[in-house]
Amino acid sequence: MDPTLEEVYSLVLTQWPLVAGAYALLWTGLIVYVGLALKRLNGLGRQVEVLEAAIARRSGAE
Amino acid sequence: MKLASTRALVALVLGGVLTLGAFLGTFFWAGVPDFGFVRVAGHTDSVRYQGPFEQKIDEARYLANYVGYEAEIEADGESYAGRVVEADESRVVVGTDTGDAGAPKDTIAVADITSAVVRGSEYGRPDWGQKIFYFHVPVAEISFLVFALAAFYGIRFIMTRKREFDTRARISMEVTLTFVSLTMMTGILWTRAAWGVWWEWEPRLTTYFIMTLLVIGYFVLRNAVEDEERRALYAAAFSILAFIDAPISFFITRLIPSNHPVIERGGLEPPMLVSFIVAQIGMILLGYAIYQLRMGETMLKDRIEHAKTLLER
Amino acid sequence: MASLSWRQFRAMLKKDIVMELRTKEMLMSMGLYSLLTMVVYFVALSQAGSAFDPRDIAAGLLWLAFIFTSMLGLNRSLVHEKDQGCLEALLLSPVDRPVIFFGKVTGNLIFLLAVEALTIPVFAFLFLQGETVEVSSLAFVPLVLLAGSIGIAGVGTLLATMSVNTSGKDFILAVLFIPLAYPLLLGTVTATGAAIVGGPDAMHAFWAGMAWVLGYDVIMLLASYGLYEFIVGA
Repeated sequence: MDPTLEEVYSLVLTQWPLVAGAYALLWTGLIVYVGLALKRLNGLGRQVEVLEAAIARRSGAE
Repeated sequence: MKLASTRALVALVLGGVLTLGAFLGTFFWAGVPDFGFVRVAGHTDSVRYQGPFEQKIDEARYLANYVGYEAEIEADGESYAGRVVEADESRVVVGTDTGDAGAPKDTIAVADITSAVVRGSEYGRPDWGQKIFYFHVPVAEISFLVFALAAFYGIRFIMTRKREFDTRARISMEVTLTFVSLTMMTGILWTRAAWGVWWEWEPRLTTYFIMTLLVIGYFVLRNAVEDEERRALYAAAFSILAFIDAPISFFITRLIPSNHPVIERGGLEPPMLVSFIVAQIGMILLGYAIYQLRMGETMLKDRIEHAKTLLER
Repeated sequence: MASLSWRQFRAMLKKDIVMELRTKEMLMSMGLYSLLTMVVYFVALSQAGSAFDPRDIAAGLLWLAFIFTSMLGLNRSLVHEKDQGCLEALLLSPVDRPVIFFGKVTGNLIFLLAVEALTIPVFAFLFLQGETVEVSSLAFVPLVLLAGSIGIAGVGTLLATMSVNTSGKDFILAVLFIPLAYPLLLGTVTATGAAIVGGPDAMHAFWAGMAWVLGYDVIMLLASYGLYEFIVGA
C-alpha cells in the first residue's frame, strides 16, 4: 500500500473495533431477544396443544 | 391468535431480510464520508486527495512536527527551500533528501529563523464511525415510536379500563426498553468513535438517558404494585407523564446548541440514503415483529391459564 | 359553585396547615434534612479548598437540597393522608377531585417554600460568606423558587399519591420523580445560577431558564391534574 494512504488510513482505522462492537452488540441483542421470544412461544404452543388435547379427552369421556 | 403469530413471523422474516440488506449496503455500497481532513507530507493519487496545503509556522520549534514536509525558511536574511530532513528544539536540517548521502543540506539554528512555511497534501479523513449511524438512528427512531405507542395504549386503558390495553402498553414499553438499550449501546460506541469520549453530558445524550431511566422506572413501578387494576392504572398514568420527555429528547438538538449531529435534507449520497431508508423500514418491521411475538406469547399464556382452570374444575 | 369549591379548597388547606402546626412533623423533618444536606456538602467540598467559586455551584447545591427535601415532604404528607384514612374520607365526601388535587398541591407548595426560605439563609451563611453577589439580579431568585416549587409540588403530589400505595414507597417516589423532574431542574438551576452570579448576560440566561420552568409547570400541572382524578380513586 502506498505509504501516504497508509498514513491517512492509520489515522482513522483505529475506529474499527468500535464500529464492529456496535454492530455485534446490535445484532446479538436483537437475535437473542427474538430467539428467546420464539423459544418461549414454541414451548407455550406445545403446552396449549397438550392441555387442549387433555380437555378434549375429558369432554369426550364425559 | 394464529393470525397474529403468522403476521409476526412474516414481519420478522421481511424485517430480517431488509436489515441484512441494509447492513450489506452500509458496508459494501455506501461510501465513507469525510470528517475533517488529515495532512501528510507525501502525495499519492487517491479519491480522498483534496489538494495541497500551505501552513505558516508561528514558532520555529514547531518545525519538529513537520519532518518530511517541503519547507521554505527564512533565517538571518537568507532563504532556504527543501524538505525538512531533521528538526528538533535547536536546529533544523533542510535538504533535498534524495536518499543520496552527498545531497546538499543546510543546517539552520531555530533561534535564527524569522519565518517558515511548510507545504504538503491534504486528504479527506474517512469517518468510519459514521457506519454506526445507519442502524443507530433507525433503532433510536423505533424506540421513540414504541414509546409513543405505550403512551397511546396508556391513554386507551385509562379511557376504557380494558385489560387488553394494559397488556399492549406493557409490551410496547418492553419493546421500548429493548430498543432504548440498543440505542444506548450503539450510541456510546459511536460517541467514542466520533468524539473520543465514552460519554458526554450533552443535551441529546442527557435527555435520552433520562428517557431510559423513565422506561426502567415504569417497570419498577409495575413491580411495586400488588393490585392488578391499580398497577395498570398507575403504569398508564406514569407512561403518559414519562412520554413528555420523548419529544424533548427528539427535538432538543434543534433547540439547544448540541454536538449531536442532525440529519439534514439532501445531506446523504444516494447509496447512503437508500441503505439508511432500508434500515429504517427493516427496523420498523423488526420492532413490529417483536411486539407481535410478545403479544402472541401473552395471549398464549392467557389461554393456558384458561385451559388450566377448565381442567381443574 | 365556584365559591363552594373555593371554600372546600380553603378548608382542605386549613386542615393541612393546622395539622402541621400541631405536630410540626413535616417542617421539622424537612428542615433538619436540608440542614444535614449542608453538612454533607461541606464534607464533599472540603477537599476542593478554595479552588472553585462557590457562587458557580450554589444554584446546583441548593436545588439538590430542595429536590431531596421535597421528596421527603411529599412522601410524608401523603403517607399521613393514607394512614389516617383522610384521603378516603375526602373521596367519600362531595368534594370535587380537582379541589382535592389543588388543595394537596398548595399544601405541599407552602411547606416546600417554607423550608426553602429557611434553607437559603443557612446556605448563604455557610457557603457564600464574603462572596460578592449582585443584589439587583438576586432579587429574582424568589421568582424561580416559586415557579420551581410549583412544578415540584404538582408532579410530586401526583407521583406521591401513586407511590404511597406501592411497596417501597420512598424509593419508588425517587425513581419516578427525579427523571421526571429533570427538565425542571435544568431550568431552575440555570435561572438561579444566573441570578446568583449576575453579570451582563444574567437576565438573558435567567429568562431562558424561567421559560423552561414555566413551560414545564404548565404542561406538567395540566397532565398531573388530568391524571389525578383517575389515580386518586384507584
